[in-house]
Amino acid sequence: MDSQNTTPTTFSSHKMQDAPTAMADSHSVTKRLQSELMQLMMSNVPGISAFPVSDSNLCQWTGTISGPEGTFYEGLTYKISMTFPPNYPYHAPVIRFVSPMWHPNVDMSGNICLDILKEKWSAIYNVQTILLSLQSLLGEPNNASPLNAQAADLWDGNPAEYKRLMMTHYKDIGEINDE
Amino acid sequence: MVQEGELPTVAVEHDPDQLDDLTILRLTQEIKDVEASKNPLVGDFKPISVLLDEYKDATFRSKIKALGGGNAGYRPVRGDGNCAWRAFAFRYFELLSKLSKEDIEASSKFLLSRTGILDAAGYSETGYIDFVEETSNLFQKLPDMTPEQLVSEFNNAEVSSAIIVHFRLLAAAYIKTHADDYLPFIDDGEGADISEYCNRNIEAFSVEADHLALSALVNSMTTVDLGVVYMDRSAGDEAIVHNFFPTESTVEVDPPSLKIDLLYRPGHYDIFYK
Amino acid sequence: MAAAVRLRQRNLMDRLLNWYIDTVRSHFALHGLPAIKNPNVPGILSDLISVGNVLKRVLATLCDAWHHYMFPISFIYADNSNKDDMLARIRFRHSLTAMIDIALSDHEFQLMAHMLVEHHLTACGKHEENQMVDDRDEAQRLAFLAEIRQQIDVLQVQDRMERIVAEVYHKFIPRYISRQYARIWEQEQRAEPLMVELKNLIYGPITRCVSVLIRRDELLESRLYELVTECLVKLGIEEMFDIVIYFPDSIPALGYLKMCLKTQEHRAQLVTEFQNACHARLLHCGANTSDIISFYMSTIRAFKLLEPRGVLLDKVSRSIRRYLRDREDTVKCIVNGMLEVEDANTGDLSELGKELASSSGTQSADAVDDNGYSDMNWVPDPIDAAPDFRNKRSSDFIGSLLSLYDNKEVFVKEIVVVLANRLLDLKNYEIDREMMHLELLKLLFGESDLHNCDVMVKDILESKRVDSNIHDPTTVAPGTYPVAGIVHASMLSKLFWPAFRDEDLALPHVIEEQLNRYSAKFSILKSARKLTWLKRLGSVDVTLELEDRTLDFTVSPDRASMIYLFQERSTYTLTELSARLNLDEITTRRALGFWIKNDVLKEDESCNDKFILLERAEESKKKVLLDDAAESSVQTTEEKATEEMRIYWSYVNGMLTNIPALPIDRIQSFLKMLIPKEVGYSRNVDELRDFLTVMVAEEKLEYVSGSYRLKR
Repeated sequence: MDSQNTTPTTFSSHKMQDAPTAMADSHSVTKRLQSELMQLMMSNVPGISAFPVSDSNLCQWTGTISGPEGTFYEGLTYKISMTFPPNYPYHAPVIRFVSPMWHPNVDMSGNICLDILKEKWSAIYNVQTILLSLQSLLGEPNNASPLNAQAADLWDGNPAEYKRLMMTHYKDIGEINDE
Repeated sequence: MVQEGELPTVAVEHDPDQLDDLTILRLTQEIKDVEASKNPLVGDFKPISVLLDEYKDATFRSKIKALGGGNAGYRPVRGDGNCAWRAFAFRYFELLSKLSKEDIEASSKFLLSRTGILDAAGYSETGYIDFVEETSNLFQKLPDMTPEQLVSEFNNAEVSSAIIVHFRLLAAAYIKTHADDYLPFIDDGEGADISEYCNRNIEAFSVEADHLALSALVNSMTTVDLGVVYMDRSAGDEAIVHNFFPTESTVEVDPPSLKIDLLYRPGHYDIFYK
Repeated sequence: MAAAVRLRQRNLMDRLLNWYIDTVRSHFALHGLPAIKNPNVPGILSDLISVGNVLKRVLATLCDAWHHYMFPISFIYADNSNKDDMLARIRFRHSLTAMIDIALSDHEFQLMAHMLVEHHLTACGKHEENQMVDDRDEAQRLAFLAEIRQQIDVLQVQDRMERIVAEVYHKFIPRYISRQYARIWEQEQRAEPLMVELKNLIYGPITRCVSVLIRRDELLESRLYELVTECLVKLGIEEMFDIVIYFPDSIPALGYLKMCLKTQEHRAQLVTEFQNACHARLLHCGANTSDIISFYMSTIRAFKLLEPRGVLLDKVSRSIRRYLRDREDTVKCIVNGMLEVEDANTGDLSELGKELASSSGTQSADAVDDNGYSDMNWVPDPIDAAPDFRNKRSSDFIGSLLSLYDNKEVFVKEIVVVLANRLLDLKNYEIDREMMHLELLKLLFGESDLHNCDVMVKDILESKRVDSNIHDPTTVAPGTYPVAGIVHASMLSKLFWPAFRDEDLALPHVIEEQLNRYSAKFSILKSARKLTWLKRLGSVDVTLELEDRTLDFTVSPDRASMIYLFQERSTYTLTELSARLNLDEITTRRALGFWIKNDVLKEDESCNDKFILLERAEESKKKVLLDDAAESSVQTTEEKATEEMRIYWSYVNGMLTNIPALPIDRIQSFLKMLIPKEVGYSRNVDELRDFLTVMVAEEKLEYVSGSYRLKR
């Protein structure tokens, strides 16, 4: 036996997505996501958008967020991935930045530290509120508990350097799609 | 044997110091899930004497014995962070199911009319409607349900989760619409934010109910008296019972009042039957 | 020695022949083939006369070549007595024929030959069609074909020609028949005369035309005839369902089909095709029961004509019968039909009543000899008869319908109900027709089962007598009033009639009073018996004199009582009416509906459940309202379409914002999967493509290498 794979603390994201839990009822999740998509499509809020990756699995979405005006991120566009658990909306979806993101609350792998995606998650949130929260996080980081300490320091300390470093990491969404 | 390529992600040993928040959250959730899935969401009725087998401690045993007259018993509820809410909701519908069809209808009408405070508290209809609908569905099915069917309905995570969210929102909305009454309890001296408190402690799914939450729930429903039996190590031969009465009870006699009892053991609530 | 020289010479001769064959081949390939290739065939092919000419020229060129190539051989190997010379000539001719055959296997030639032959066959068909016989025309055509035939003979490629001709007529004849004879059943064409016509065509122009082109063959005519028969059978089989629908106008078609329907295979095919057509076109919930029954009756008659023994009928009717048994109103339809009751819901099956009248005499005779022992014309059942096939010798479809159910009781019950309703609807106690029907039905079901009906009829007869007695002014007993003449009652013997709904109705006071007097008089006449009024039954003649019009109606008592109330005042609410009439709200509403429909009452627009008498007709106003409704519904359809497009566009936009480029199939399957059912997405790929093309034209999208993307 491969000891690595059987360690009790082992965690694989693959397992997490596929393992059915007692809450799993993919039909109602599908229905819920379908109606959320409808709502999102019809409200057509500028600067945020998201869509399922494939027509066969509604639990995996890809999204696009534009940086809010008057922030370092103005005019830039970022791509995110959204994975909905089978017990959504009672548990939060897992959101990651696919585009490289240089921000105090986002780590180098794109993981995000946002309270509503964790301990403050509530079933009344939806894709649209998540996207809007992420968008406002770009302009209002929580510098008290940063994942990227350098970014947190420079945010207030040296805006010019912040902008420069941020831009060195930025990749146009076209480039990411081509990858 | 594990075959190569079966697991696309290479598993790594987690160094406890280097776990990121997300992973910690997932791990805790996994542990919770595993532990919880051993027990049903809502279990079967058990006589109170069963508890005696669990405790050696003399204080506990004497308190349990003090409860144990006649038909007393309890119904275990899964400890997944929603236990107080689920226990309350289940007991609410269980008590209603014994009433006449007219009473059920009156209660349903009344509870659904309380949806108004959700609007008053600023929740959007599209946000809450799915959950309220589930409650309303259950009301409609209730008159024709057997007790077993009700238990199995509550063991359907889809149904009971939705109802729990509905009840959580009612409690949160009550607090938000009565901010002045609650602010003193929330204020920890550093400036309190009602909405922040509700978000973190009531709206958030899988967060256990505190004293304030239960009081808000009782107040928001207005037709239910709640008694919580505290089964802890505090001194005394009898468990302390804390009662919650709605501050503004309904004037109309229409929806009948109910009395719900919960059994509290540190960190967990079950349903208590006298 | 001489032998040796001859042998060497022979070798030389062989080598010479081989060389010559090679030379001819390469010459033909180099010069012959290009010569027969027509440079502008595509243009020419559109013109049939040129096709003939080109074909003839090609063949002429080949004949020329044939003669040229043959010429040296004919004198080098000229010795007819020499076996070697003979063999050499034969060998050369074979190789030449092979060469030319290959040249003719060319696609263009084949195509032209097909067209030519088909053209001539079509001409034959036309010739027969309009009897304006133009023999000169035919002679001309035959002469042309004879020339072709000569060339074919020279070239010795008759096999190829025969194949082409056979291919063409196998295609031509079925097409001709289905064009000429499909869906024509009424005309006499389909029976004997049709065969004569076809025989004339086949044995006349077609045979003449074909036999000019190919070697005479004694079997040709019979092969052609078989082909024609086969086509006609196929056509008949395909059309059997329609033939039944158009029965009896389609009887001629059946006559013909009967002549051609010989093989087991065809019989089996007929059964399957007919059953499939029944399932697809008749046996579904969209069809009225009465239509199915009348179709079944036509099926019985048509198939009996086709095959009097009824084996085919037995097979095809099984699924219809099974289906009818499952229908709830089958019995009702049949009984209404037999009693010649016309009913909007059950349709008109009065044919059944006529059949009942005409066939009932023979019915009992049939039953005597069920096993057919005395039938001198007896033959065994056909081999494809079902194991449980029972030969029913009459085409009596009432019997067939009655045998749908295992016992006749269901019919008897229904007959009692229908008859009761009819008797109650009568005015003037005239029951001749009902008595006639009842007698006929008794023959069918037996006297004892219909005993109740007898009593019912007698009740009416007796009522007539009693009623006239009651109204007779000379029999007024001392101290009582004469009975006014507008109430006529039927006295029913409660036990023998179907149960009536025991519902009350508050009749107008005047009427109630008359009823009381009627009762009083009755109790004098029949002192032992007591009358219980069934106020909801019967009918009332009403004349309404309104301000601008006078209207006559014959209505049920509840409707009459309702409109009577409006004499008092012109407005009532629903609750008031239902209380005054002692009716439940549903019945009240139904009665109101009748008067509203007839423009006597209207519902108050400002206040629901309030009804007003229309002293003056309001037709014009109503029309305007209707028009309004029509207009607004059109508008909403348009609005809906626009709204749908708006939704689809936001999905496509959202999709392509996040997934850079997608082919149309993916977009289609996304839309199908993701748009909630309540909104619905029903466009097909072509409609989607139209929509996306519009979006491309509006510069919202662009189409790049098979995928759509957002235009930036």
